[in-house]
Amino acid sequence: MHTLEKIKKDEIWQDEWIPTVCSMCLHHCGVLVHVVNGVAIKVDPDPDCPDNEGHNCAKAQGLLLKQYDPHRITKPLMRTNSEKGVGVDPKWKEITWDEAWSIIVEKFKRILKEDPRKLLYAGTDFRRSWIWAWGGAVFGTPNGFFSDVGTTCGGGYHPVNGIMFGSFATQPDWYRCNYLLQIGGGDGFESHLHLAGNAKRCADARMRGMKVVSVDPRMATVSVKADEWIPIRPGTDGCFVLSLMYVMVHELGKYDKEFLKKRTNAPYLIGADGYYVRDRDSKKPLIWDPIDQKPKPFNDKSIKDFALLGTYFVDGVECKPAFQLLFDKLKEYPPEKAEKITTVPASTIRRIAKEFVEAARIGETIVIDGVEYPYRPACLQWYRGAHAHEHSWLDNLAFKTLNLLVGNTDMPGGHLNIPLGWDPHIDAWSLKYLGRPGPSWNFVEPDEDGVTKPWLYELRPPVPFKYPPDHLDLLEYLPVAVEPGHIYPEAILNPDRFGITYRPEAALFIHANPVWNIPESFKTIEAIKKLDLVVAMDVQAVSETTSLADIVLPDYTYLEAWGIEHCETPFIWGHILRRPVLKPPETCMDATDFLTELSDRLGILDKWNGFLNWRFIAPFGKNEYLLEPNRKYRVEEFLDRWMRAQHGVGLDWFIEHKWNMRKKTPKELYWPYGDTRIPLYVMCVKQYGDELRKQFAELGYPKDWMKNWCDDYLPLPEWKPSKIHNPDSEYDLYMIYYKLPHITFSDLATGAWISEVLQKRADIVRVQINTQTARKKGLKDGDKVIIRSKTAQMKAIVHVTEGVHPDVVAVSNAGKWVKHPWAINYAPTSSALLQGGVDFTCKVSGCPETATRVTIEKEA
Amino acid sequence: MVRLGMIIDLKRCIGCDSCTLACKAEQGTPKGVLFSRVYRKLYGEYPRVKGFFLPVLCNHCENPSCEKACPTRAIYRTKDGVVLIDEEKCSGVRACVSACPYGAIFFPLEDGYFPNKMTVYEEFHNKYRKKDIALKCNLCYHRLKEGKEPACVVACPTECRIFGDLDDPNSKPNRYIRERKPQVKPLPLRPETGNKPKVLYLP
Repeated sequence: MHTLEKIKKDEIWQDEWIPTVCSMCLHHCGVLVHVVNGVAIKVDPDPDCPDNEGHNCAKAQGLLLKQYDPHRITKPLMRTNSEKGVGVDPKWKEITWDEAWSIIVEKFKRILKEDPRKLLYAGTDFRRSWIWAWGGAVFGTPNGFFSDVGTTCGGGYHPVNGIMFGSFATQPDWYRCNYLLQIGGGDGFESHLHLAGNAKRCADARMRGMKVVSVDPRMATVSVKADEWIPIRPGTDGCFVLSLMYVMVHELGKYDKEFLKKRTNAPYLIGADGYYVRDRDSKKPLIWDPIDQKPKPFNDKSIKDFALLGTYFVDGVECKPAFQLLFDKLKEYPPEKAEKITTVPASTIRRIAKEFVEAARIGETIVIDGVEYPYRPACLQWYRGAHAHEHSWLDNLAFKTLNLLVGNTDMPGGHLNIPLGWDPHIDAWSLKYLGRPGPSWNFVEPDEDGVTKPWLYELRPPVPFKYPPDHLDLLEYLPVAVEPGHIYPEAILNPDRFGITYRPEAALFIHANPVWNIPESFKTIEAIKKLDLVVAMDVQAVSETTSLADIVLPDYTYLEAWGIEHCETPFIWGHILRRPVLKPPETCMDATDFLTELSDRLGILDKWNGFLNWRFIAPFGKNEYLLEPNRKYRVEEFLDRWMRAQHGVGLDWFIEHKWNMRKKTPKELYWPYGDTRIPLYVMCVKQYGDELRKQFAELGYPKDWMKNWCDDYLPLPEWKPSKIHNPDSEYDLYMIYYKLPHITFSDLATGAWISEVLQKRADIVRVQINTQTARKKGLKDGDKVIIRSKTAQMKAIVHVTEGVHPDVVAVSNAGKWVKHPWAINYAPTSSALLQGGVDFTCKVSGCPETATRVTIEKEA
Repeated sequence: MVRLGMIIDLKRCIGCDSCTLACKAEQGTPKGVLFSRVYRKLYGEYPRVKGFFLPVLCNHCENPSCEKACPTRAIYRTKDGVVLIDEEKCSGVRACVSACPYGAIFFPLEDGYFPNKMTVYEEFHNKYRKKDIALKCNLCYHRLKEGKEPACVVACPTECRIFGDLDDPNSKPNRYIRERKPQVKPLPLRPETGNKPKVLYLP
């Protein structure tokens, strides 16, 4: 009998299913929370929610785990032990809010007055996108993204999507794809976008016959479910894909010429300097018309055909179509050569290339709702396993280019670009210029050359070149990157290397855990220890980072807080409401309200309200909803005004209707670019690199790292070995790290039920090594081992399996070293083993290297 | 006759443990008790390795060995075929635990999830839970009474669990089996036991 059947009817004063969102990852599925007598006892999926297709993943029950974990804090805490470090008890003491305010405000006020750069902010709470920019836009510090990117984020993949397609993420077209080549990612199976909804879409696709090929160093969930698993050496996925393109172009001669000619800049003529060759009068980029045998501006009405290959002379200058340059570059990647690098047999590369290009059905079309589209039901989908390496830009570009070659980009069955969906500016822009409402749209404005304008600054404004730098993540030299917050520790510990002239003094972390989520944890710890005052806001005080704080402030849980959410939804647009399901303790404070109060006490409330206006309310031109500069608004009041400005309805409407989401129409989903071409040759990146090179040269290269900084700013893909591929390394194995469907943010790794379930799965909590490797090292299943890298050593238990590449040690994200009864201390934390800092960062995309070299030996 | 059961399509299952966690929360089971759980199995030799996920729960057998083993007749079948434990009759003999070939019956540990501290959540359920009795999946019988499907079924993101009356040719599971391509025969786990499970798997 269920508990509810045993409770006497008259003892039940509340029995409700309250709709809200799961906030255990960034994607916010609709859920119903069963609340009985003030206790949330169950989370059911909201059967009507179109985003999650009426289901949810294991994480949803995490709402309850967070709520009822006895480590929940309800009062501000202050450290009484001045020593900080791993395993050191902070000896927390409860203090009043007044005491907390006086310490925080005194320090922050002095920093604000003297030098705002000295405050580090990490407010990248994915459940409150509106607080992200408080540090930068309101307090005025350049160091507003300490916890960004890290080892678990898409990292370099985001700016690449933005640069090329004005988007933020990508998805296969689950509804029409027939051949999915998935490399180093978990889409539809294990992780990444909207796991619940996409698992359903993907399962339906597999049932109707979609073939899945998984390329991954370990037997991931997708590999288990795939028709074929192809193990690969870590960080060589780009080489594998370039070799697929070699086969398609040089052996099979099969690629979508029509698409390349009409919808990309592949036919644009490129001069010896790497730039477009332009028409003398109109300054428009030229293409070569092979029928009329002469150059013409790319949009000339008289063009009869576009040359993709060949060498031409325009005004006596030699030039080639961009595609010819790619064609030449691909010659370096025959399968026999790629086999040596990737360990994937040449015959497999040839077979997959053939299968992929045949599945793409080049030349076929499909009519959907009266519109004829190219029908390209094959897709390469990838994520951080494949690209989060030192040359992330070039790897990502290789993957993007393969999709362009078969013409599947934003076409039925193919590779779909997905906007972030957080930026009301895009919505307002979309409404104003395209006459259609966002946020389903990519930013697809053409530049003057007819190619999509790069959309780089969805998350941050541009940062001008300057030396010495203000930004500890060196954004002055990363014009197209996502913020590489993982560089902060190196910049704090070694400021002279970068010419940094000030010393950071304080940090404010809101639901942030940089020690866990950025490479080289022990360096991050040392950097945090250098700060005078570390303030963390969270619902527990036990994370790797909060346990280093001086003051911890008690936040509302996601069952207690308001929110409006929309993030990277593949097939939906619209917002969904998070509403308080439970009453928060009176001594806790919502993080947004905390920032409002803090702004007021620091005398910058007008800036905070001004920022919220600029970003969320003003773009829609309804001035009646603007926040007054010096009034304190509760978070729900702000959300109400934002929704009224954007959608014409307020929170009361959302309380009644839950969401205003609806499925995208095919016209919204496919080819949003109109006549605008998409770049095969990404000239803007070359241009940014050339400008940067010039600026470094003008400075006279005061720092050694400036010399090779711009090497990867290339317009076409190539594969370069990373530092992890050093053949002389004394570390014989590669450590890779993978995300589980059970955990997105670090806090769920100490969720009691989740931890209990994970601890029954040896493959997850132990580190995976191949049987051959185990034999060579004299290890057997269950042996206790030490994993050593250049930066750390960690204890682990081995799981000996056939399902991992022999060069690899595979580590999941289940490991935690914190003191919590459900922390899985015997599972290692991969971030600790990684090498971090600038040398292990992609200088174009800002992505950190997320694999490293290790040795493994039996614990003595 | 109504014969409630479940079809699990193994091709759909991605082993995400959504069922495991949904069951945990729905039933408020004590520490160490997982009515619903998922196993991952690999076979073959590197690099030609294959695998599958196997979600399991009480099979609600037509011929349940637990029922026969119980000396106090605490285990019974409802008229729609759900195997339940009568908490009043169960005296904690544990014969059912060893009798069940599927490991579906649990005796909870005494302690809670956190040392020396029962959470508000645990207290909610513990207050009404008899100690020292056998616990097992009840196919969310309380939800069925409200016209809802079991928690594991509604949670599953891939819809690999299809619940309904196995005797009704037009029930969800029977329609699914008929319409599935390619056609496969539903199979029980360990048929040699003679227990006749009503949780059947599509390989």
